[in-house]
Amino acid sequence: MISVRKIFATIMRKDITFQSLETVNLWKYIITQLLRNKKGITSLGIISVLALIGIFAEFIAPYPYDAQDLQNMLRPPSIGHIFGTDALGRDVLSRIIYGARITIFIGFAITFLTAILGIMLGLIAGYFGGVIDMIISKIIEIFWAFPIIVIALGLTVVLGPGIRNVILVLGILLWVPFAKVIRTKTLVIRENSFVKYAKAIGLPSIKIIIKHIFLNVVPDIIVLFALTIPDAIISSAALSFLGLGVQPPTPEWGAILSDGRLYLMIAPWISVFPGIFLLILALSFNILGDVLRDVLDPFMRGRK
Amino acid sequence: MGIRKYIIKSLITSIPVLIGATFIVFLLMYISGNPVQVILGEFATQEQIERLNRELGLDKPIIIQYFLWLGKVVRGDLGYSLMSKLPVIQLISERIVPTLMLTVTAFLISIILGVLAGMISALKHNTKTDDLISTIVLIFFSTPYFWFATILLWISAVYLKMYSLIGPLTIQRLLLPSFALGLPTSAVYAKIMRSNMLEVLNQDYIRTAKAKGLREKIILYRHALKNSLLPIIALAILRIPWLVGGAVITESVFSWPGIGTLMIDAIYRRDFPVVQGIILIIVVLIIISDIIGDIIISLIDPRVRLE
Repeated sequence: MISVRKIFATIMRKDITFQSLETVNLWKYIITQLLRNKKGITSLGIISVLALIGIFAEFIAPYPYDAQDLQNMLRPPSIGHIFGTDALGRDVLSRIIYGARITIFIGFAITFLTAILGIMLGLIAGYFGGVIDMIISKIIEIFWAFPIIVIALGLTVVLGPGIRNVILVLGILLWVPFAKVIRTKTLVIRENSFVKYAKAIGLPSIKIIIKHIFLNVVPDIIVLFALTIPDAIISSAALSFLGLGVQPPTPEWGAILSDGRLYLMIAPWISVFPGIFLLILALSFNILGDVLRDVLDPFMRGRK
Repeated sequence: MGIRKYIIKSLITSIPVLIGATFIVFLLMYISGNPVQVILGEFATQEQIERLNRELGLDKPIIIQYFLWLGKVVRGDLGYSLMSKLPVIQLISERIVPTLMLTVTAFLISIILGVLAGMISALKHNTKTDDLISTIVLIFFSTPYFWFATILLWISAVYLKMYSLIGPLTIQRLLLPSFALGLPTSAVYAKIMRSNMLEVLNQDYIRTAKAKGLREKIILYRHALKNSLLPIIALAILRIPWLVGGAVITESVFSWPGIGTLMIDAIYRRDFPVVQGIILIIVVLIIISDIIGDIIISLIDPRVRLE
């Protein structure tokens, strides 16, 4: 992270001595800043709790996610079933607890895929410029015009539903923000003298891109990552909501919500609670992303 | 650059986008498999399959096939539904008006609400009102719109007894889905409106206007509102694809008889020509509205034309 440190040093030189900044570690800096921020620590806390609930679902959930109890169908929330039961007598709370695992996993997996795609396209377009940039920029423009969820619906018809295909479909559709931001940043960074020197001494492009450009866009990537996750989670839940994503009996929050649609008028709890969890999760990631943006701002300014 | 020249330029630059986008829609159908098998059934002989392949042009390279398809599309031929055997273009034209009504109403609701919320927030900067509005905006920003639509439907049907999923398309029936779609969308505009307005209010010309002794209201309407509204309109046009995607799902929640419900039904029945036709129509409409939006913005703000 030498170049990140250097940039931080040039920005902050006036206030702090150069010596101390040589020891700045980006991740350590992020963690300490987040823990100092009230919004940051709250959102990070909520996300961690939901993730832990998902990971340890077996130990936390009062019932297995697929345990049917036909004597107790569509029961309203009570002490035995805090969030009520669904049409097959399954405990909604237990399904939501198991669902946390799948929902969060899908969100991360999609974001990971889009990040890789978007970062690669953005770096290539920004670094090489010219015709390559023109082609990639046109592709970005085309994908901007797409209603993502509509195209995703079309693709799931072709590929079939299921967790793997949801990740694949949304992974290749949501990359545009990554590519846009990384491309713009790369265009600025490549004008820096350290990139020009590296080119002059004949370093291969791939090395320059990884060592000098990629490491300098890491802060942007972190912010984009946090802000793409809620998009990925809500889009995949929307597919499951329409019955084209995660298939029953697998508990995913969008799928549970969908289970309740038929019984909305007589058993609204089946749909209400998973939606609240989706909202809380998305909200926490959005707040976290905003806080990260503020925290990382000194690293992300136009540098030159 | 003159306005006529600018319009021509934006039409020309949108051609590659149009071709690229339609090509991707074409690819969707291409990878969905050979329709010949579906048309002829299981017991077709190799000879029959080859002949139909040749008749439909499916033995040609993919690029040629694309242009053949594009030629048909331009003439209004989107193929036939596998279920009802009716022309896809007819099915779509029967359903497109309700979808446009829903999308346009939701679009207006989202802009009006977003601008109002953002404006009030900015004018009451750092007060309790600002905090309250900003919190509500943040919550709506993260709300899964299909869940919000479901909840709205439940509340209005059970508690307000004012919504029915069947019957004629009245204004009352239009408003609920429009709000379900428009309210979460407005959060984005409220966020941006607030920060734009705060920025504009700190500009020199506002201070000059105040120093000149102009009345607060006149300053607000003539300067601040006008200058912070333009980016919102530009953004709203950019967000149309997202709004249309939301409309498809909202329609299915409210059984609104537009192309969204048509598409979802077609998806369940694997009626691929209909799905593809709808995707194509939506993409083309979005690109057209993009061009129109571009021109409208350049009319309001001639500076855009200089870029």
